[in-house]
Amino acid sequence: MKYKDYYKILGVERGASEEEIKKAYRKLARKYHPDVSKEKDAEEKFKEVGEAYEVLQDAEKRAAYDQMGHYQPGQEFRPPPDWGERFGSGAGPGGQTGFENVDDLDLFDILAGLGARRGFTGHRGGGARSGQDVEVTVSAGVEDLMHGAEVEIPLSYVEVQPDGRLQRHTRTTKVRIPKGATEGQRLRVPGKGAPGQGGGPAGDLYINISLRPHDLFKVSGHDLYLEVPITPWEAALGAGVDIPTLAGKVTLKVPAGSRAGQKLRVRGRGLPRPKSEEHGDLYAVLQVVTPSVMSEQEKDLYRELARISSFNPRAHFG
Amino acid sequence: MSSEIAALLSEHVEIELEELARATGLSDAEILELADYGVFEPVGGAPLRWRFSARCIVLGRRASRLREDFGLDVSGLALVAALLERIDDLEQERTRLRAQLLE
Repeated sequence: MKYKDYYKILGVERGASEEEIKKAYRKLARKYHPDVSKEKDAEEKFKEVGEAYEVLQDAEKRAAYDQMGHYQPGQEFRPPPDWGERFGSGAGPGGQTGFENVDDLDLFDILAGLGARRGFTGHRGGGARSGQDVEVTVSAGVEDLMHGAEVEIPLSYVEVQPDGRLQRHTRTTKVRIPKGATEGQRLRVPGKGAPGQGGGPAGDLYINISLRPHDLFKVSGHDLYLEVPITPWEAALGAGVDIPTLAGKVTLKVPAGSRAGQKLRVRGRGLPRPKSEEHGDLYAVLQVVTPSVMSEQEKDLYRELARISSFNPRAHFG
Repeated sequence: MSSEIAALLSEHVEIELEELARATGLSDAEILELADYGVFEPVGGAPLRWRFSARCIVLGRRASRLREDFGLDVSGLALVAALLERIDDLEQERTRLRAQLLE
């Protein structure tokens, strides 16, 4: 089991008062709270700070943590032999202290488990507790949002056994992402978070969708944007241009006299909207591209065009 | 292994007060007060018959986390919720403009 220096994480001395711990936590929580912070790794940092605070603000957990000894952060260690008897449930048969499977657990599992074990073994039968909600981020491609997709979500949680021991469980839940989801969308699967204890209900599973960038399509809500390169003569004369969509090719009608940057809407070729048969739109953004290599004949034709055309796009400069 | 269907927490799905309270950990009284501040916009007659969009679960869970982690009262939560909503709107607008610019 790896040691975590909770005092160092909160930036306080080992003898810090409750007030100092609270103050340090508030300051770091404000900096790293995932709901308000844009710091890199904010979520990870906030979890670390939250763990440290949960242990140090609770007198019993703090005492148990202090009794574990002092190691370097990340150093492998085992709690002292008598630690389990003093702080564990001691409820297991044959003198089990609840920490035989210590390699599956991390430091916080054990400290957080102190209260849980107390509640569970002290009120057996009457100590029903709801399972924790679990929140995960799932990476999805544009095609997944278009057609719906199945993802496998691995979950890992620690459960208090009837004899008071802590046991880590892992399981995989297969979840269908429905059509209508898009970047930043939240989804919920009721009852698929961590299981409850003592007959309590399971928590819920919350899923945040994080969109993988696509080579061609940019996503905004349920609309898609696609860069469509066209030639100067297609822009000038108009043309039918084949473009890809997520549901096969369509022919885009480029009107005569189109400009670079112009957006043409292809209705209903975006991502499906929730709870309806409708789709968002696809916007084709025109880019007028000139050939980098031209034959003499092509150059002659451009020169001819330059000679006979009276068009001046800079007339307003005066 | 059969797959579970994930429900979208969007404007298009309605939930009841009881479900919102259970999913967010907010009390009925806190939810009603947050509705007074306009954080939640329920539909229906009397408060106990109110229905909320499922997106309120996202807003409510965020409010609940902020309450726990910063010890905010309901008026503080309402203010933070309004500012975070504004940031969400601006970020959506930024995403739209970036998509238009093909970035």
